[in-house]
Amino acid sequence: MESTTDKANPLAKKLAKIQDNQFENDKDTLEALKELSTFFNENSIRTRRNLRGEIEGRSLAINQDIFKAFHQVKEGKNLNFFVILSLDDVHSQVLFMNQSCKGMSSKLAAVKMRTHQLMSQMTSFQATSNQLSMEQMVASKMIESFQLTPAEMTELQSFDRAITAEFFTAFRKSKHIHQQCKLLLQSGHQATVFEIMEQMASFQETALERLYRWTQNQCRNIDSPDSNILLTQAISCLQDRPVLLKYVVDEYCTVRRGLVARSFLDALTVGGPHGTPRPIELHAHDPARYVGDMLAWLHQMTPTEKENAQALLKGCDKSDITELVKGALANITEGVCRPLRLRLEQVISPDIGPAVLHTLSGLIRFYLNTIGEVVPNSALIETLNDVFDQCHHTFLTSLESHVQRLLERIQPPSQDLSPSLGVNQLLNLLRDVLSGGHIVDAKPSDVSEVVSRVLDPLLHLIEDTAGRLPRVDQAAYTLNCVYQIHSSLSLYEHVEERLENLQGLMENQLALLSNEQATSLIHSLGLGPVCALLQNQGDGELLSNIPGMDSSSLQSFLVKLDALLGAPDALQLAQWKLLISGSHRKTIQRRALDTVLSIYEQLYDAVHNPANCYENPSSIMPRTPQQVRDLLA
Amino acid sequence: MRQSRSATLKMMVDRAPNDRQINKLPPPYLKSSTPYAGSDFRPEVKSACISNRLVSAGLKISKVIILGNVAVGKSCLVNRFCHSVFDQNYKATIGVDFEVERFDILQVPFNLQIWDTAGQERFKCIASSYYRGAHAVVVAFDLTNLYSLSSCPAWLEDALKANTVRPLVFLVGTKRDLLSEAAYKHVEDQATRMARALQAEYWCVSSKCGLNIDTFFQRIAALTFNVSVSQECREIDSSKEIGNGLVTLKKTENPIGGMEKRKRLKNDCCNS
Repeated sequence: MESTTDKANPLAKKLAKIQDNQFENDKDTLEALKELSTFFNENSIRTRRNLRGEIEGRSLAINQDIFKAFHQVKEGKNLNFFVILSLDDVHSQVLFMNQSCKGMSSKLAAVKMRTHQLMSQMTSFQATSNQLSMEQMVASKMIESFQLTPAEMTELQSFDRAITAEFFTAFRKSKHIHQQCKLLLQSGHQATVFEIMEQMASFQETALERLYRWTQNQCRNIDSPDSNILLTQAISCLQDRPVLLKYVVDEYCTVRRGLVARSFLDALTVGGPHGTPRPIELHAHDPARYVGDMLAWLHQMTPTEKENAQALLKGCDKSDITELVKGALANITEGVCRPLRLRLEQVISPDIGPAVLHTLSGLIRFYLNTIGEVVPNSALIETLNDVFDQCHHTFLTSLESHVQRLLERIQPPSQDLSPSLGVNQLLNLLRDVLSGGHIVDAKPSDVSEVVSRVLDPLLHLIEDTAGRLPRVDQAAYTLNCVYQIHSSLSLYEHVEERLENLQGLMENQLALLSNEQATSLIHSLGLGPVCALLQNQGDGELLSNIPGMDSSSLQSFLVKLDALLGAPDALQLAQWKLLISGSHRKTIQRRALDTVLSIYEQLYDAVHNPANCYENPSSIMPRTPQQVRDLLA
Repeated sequence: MRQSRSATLKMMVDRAPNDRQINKLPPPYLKSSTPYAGSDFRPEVKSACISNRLVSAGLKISKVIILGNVAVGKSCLVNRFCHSVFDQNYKATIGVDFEVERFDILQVPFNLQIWDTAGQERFKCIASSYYRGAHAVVVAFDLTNLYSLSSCPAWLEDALKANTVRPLVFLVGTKRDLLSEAAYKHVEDQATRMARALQAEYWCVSSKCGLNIDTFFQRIAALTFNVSVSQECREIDSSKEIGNGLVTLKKTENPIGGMEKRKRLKNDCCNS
């Protein structure tokens, strides 16, 4: 209701606005009202009407006051208790200030002019300083990478300190610097580079000297180089000076040589720790065992020494380590040469017999090859070679004297035409010798030498003694002897040529004996004339008419032949029965009978040939050659 | 000094290949057929290896010899292990062959020297020179040839004669691949009986297919290592004891020794 009246009535709106206006909050209004309340003491119509004039009058008066006051200020009059300069004064002072400012700025400009040079100098100094600090940095870097620290230098140069891993870092650094110098040289700082290089070279020289002495010292009391990594490093560094390296390796070898020689003597005389294994010389009475044990000890020592030497030299990457190791091993094994040679030479005497000597020379040759693979061209191999030669020589001499002695004892062939005892003894000797040398694959030439040294004089002697016998006896005796030799020898290798030779010899005797046997058979069968007649046949005469070829004389032959068929061995030579070898006997018999058979065949053909006019040939010779052959077989 | 030691250890990175590293004792082939019963390394060996007490004492080496009749497969056994090859063709060993195998046992480098001897009678005089000072003896026989088993005692006797301290002994049957399961059981019976009689540890292997070869040699290496290190420990300990004994005994023993000396001197005087 009310709002509608408000909207309807603008007056009411204004009233509401005035009512809403809260004057008590408006300070200015309150002040103004308070000031207004001082204007009048009484509230009358008159005063109310004059209010406006009064306010304007007062406003005027105030403006006048202000004007007066400003005037006073301009005049410079003392007002109240402030001393205020007049505006003119202020003006003049400002002017003055301006002037002095101008002066100052000009002065400043002048100074600026003067300091400009200073400034430019300053900047140039700054630049120089920057450059210098840069150079300093470069130089310190350079020193860092091209110079050693004092600590490193002392490490390299102080001879009384022990070598540690730091030494090797320092040493490597100096080497690295030396190498880097070449790079530096390309950028062309020759003088400096040469100086540095010289310096490094001298450091390295001292360091190597120090390292050399240390290493040499280490080598002197070394047990196993594998345990000492510093030592292998040292050796690797010493590669730069082959001479020093050689000295060090020599020193090592000398020490090991002594050790090896001592332990060899220990193994010979004392044995291992706590008597295990027992000393080798315990078996000195058995030459083969003694020599074998000594050489086996040496052979077993070489791998350990080789490993040690390889461990010592494994840092050597610049040269062929295998050559170095071989050299070192040759050097180390030199120590055992003297005691070894002494003992071997003591053992090798002709008294121990050719068989043992041959065994020994086989053994020595075996180790000559085996050890030679590990340490070729060493004094040890030379020693073994010498001893081998000596052994071989002694063996040959001893063999010869033994053979001679046995040959002298060989008796002439006995009645039974068997090889005499001496032949068997000689063959036994040969067997012993060949079996003894059988350990190692012997060279064919050696075997044939040994064989010919025994067999040549033996065969000669057999030939000699057989020469005094009748022809057939001689052949049988020779065949027996050669057969014995052949069967002894056939057990061994590398004697094929000799066996062939013997086979040929036997063949000769066999042929001779077969011939003899055939002749004797023909003779005892009474075939001699028949043979001759058969051969001379052909002059037109009838065979049946020829005397000796008639059926009655043939009959007597056939009777004898029947007897032979019944007992083939009955007509053999006496010597035939004395042959040792059954196969020889068989061969001779076979060949002889073959001869007889071929004659029989001819005869049979002739008898059955109608041209020869035999009556009833099948009753004269009822057996075909084939039947006879079967009966004899 | 300590620093250099550690550097030393660091440098020793060139180790044995994996299958040559042994960190625990391999078991025997048959628990029932071995005289070496321990199931692990001896405690003193272990502690010595862990504390690296032995590193300075140099590389350990043990020597193994392999014996047995002709053509039982001794060289094949060695070649199979050392070179992983098997050659079907027979080639007689001349005298003796030598191989060395590097192991790392409990991280300690260890070398096994294997001397493979010839079985042929004619080489016996060479081979027997190598029996001395063996740490282990392997007597090999052919599982398919019982005669070769029956000659094992003779081989072992020869080897033991050359040694005053009894080495470790192994009896190993070869050519397992040629036998059926049933046939093998029969042979194994006899072989284990033989092993007991010889106080040997029994193994069966095949070089052709590689059966048990590696474990067998690892077992040998570990056992010989165990023996040699514990012996070394004992030596170190006993030398320590002797040292201490000298210090303590000196007081009591000296006067006696002195008296004796004086006595002897007196006697000498009298005699002279």
